[in-house]
Amino acid sequence: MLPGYAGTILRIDLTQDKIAKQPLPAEMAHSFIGGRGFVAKTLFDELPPQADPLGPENLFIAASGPMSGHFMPASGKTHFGCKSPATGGYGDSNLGGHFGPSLKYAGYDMLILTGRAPQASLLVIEDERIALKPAGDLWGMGSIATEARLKAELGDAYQILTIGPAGENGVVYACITHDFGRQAGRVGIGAVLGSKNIKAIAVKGTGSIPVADPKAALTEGLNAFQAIRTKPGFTGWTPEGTAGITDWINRVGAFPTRNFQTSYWDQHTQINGAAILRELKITDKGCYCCPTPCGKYGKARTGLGDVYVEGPEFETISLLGSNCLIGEISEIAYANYVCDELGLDTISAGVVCSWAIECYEKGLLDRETIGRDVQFGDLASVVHLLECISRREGIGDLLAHGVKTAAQKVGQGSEAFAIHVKGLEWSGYECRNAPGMMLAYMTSDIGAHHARAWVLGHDLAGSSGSVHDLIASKGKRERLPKSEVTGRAANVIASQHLRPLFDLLGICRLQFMELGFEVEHYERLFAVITGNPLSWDDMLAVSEKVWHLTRSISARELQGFGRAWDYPPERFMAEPIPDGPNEGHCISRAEIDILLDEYYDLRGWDRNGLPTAATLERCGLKAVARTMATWACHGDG
Amino acid sequence: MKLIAKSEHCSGCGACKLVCGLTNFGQVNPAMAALSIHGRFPAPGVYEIRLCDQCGVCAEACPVEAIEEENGIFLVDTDACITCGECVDACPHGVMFEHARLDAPIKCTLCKACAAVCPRDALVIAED
Amino acid sequence: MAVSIHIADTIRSVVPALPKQVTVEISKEKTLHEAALEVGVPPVLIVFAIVDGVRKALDEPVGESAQVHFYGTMAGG
Repeated sequence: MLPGYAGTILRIDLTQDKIAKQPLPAEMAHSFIGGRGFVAKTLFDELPPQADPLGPENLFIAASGPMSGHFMPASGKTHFGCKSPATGGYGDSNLGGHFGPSLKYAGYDMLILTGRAPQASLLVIEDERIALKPAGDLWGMGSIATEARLKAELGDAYQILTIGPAGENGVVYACITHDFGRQAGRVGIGAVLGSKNIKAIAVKGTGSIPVADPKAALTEGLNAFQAIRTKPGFTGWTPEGTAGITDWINRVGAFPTRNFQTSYWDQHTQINGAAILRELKITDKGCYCCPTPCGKYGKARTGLGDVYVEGPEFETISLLGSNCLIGEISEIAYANYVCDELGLDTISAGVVCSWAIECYEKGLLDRETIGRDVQFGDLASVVHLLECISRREGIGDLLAHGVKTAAQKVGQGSEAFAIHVKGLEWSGYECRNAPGMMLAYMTSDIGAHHARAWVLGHDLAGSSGSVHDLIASKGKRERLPKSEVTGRAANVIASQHLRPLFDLLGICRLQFMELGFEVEHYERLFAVITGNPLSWDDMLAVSEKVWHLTRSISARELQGFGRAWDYPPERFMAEPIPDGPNEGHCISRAEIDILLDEYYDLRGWDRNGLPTAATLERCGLKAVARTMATWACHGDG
Repeated sequence: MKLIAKSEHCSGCGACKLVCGLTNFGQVNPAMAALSIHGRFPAPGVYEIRLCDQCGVCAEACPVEAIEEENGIFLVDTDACITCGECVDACPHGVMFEHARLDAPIKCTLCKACAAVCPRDALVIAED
Repeated sequence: MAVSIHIADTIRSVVPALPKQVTVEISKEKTLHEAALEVGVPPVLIVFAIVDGVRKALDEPVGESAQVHFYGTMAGG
């Protein structure tokens, strides 16, 4: 028995309909903790190299962590992994809600799907009973509609993952939806599930998770819930959730606007957290055991119709909102709903739509190709594109490949404003004058995603003493000084170990990040739950190991992978920001190279961005170093 | 003393169910909870808490008098219980539960752990 | 009047020299923005202030408040 863990890995070969239950190896638990660690370890060991991301040989992995499902704040995270159809490299994405805990109560820490079901199927897991059922009647249905129907048919106690038409049709940024509005949005994980002919996974668990010291787990858990109530952010941050930073992001000139043409939009107060509370919200909607629910469930009333929808959270406000110039919160919520139902990641979909609209404005895509006029600020234009993409109709077939591939096909300079890294579209922070954050996006292992590292505060503090006076008078758009480029790597690396650590543990980071919930609580809870008194630094060391491992996986999967994959789009290096607090700023290619050199050196990677054998061995990845040598893709030195 | 639900405050996190099972059975297992949360999604988008109000209908239904009142709290005598399920069927709120690993039904003991942990004050103790 | 100002770790991680808590004499007409400058917190790093448990904008006056918390952020989503 491994306290904290359910103790079993569930493997299903969908082609053969063969089920295997394997004891969770203690060595794996100790060396990789869980969640993202399990995903990376499994992909490295078991993914056939050079596999087609949407072929039967790819793996679909769902993994909780040792703290998932336990009595502590926000223990509801589930991590998903695959070879990404968006980037061709390492891919993972996570969601909150209740799925991972239920999977553990059913007895499983991790679910690994291989092969491809012969027909559209629904996977039902009820404790030890596993069944693959035909689901042809669900194929084509929306994500939310599918979940509602399965809840009605199977019962309230089931926790359900679904995909929408986008996942069925192999859109490389298709997501997984759960609990009527929680998504594992990134890297195309929904397309991988769709490629396996799995429309939905339903789990009901009625078992117990073993815990090292149940009495202490109760006491420490109660202490933790009490302690979090004393944080001012408990009442101050929770009401608006992630949307609460909208005004600030705009104030510091980091708000992606008009396909990242600029970073400031004066309509931000129409689409901020307060607007959600004013116009949309019905209830706060929490993930498992979350004391500070950031989910805002509500009803949006628009000219296109009224819809119930969870969100929009900040990233959606940014990419479907300001970046598409949608300036009404109800309209952003409507686009959010359309993405949820179709099964599209709101971040990537927002970037793809804004790129397509800019192409249309510039005459690179015409009305006939797109199927109608499209323009910034027009909800109907965005909805048209989303629907085409999810069904791969007309222009949608091109856009379904993501902005990198679409721009390569359209050409004519459109690559310069295709905003992505490694083929994954950029999330909600513009950083032409935030070099640390730029580096975070450039080196994020899955592509341009903010969840791996977030250092905008350091960028602002490091820009100059004059920031003190920046907002002395409200409404005046004073200019931020140019931020220093050197010395950025250390904070980025620290953040890249810290934030993904929560993804190893299977819990949410927001209580720590946003409310200041202390490390000591996590250490004590980990010890009483698992019986393994790891220090926070011990856990961070595992997080670092996983970072080198995910980089190694991408190096194995992508021919010629290295430094060239880490550059931001040309727009950020060639076009100074036209207005707002960062007016006039951009970042040169030489500065990008300084960022990368410092980063690689501190990481122990070579100047081509590949982990050296010495680094891999230092972090306990000797076997990885050996394998990488046979693939001739580890770093020199 | 009474346990009161304010469903309009609930965000569906389920911490109450987890602490219930941990307090009363020493198990990390929300299926061993004596209350339930129901999300009404996608519409109208609200949560409903169902809990025991110590009405005593279960005690009346029990054929072997295995449920007795002590200070206004109805408790199951697990030794006397014959696991017939009459109380579960009779409970007007649907908050007596059976679990495959337990010989007696799960019933609220008014231990107050759920109210202590609820971060939303959706479960509160009202003194008489 | 004396106001107790608390500075969140999200800000202190960026400007480590700042104290966790400091008490200052400040007139109630002053804004929260001015209070921040008074204790050396770059206002640009403050995502929101929580005054006696309620979220406030930086251009609002300190007023009769006793406890002011300045919060930074570590990202939106």
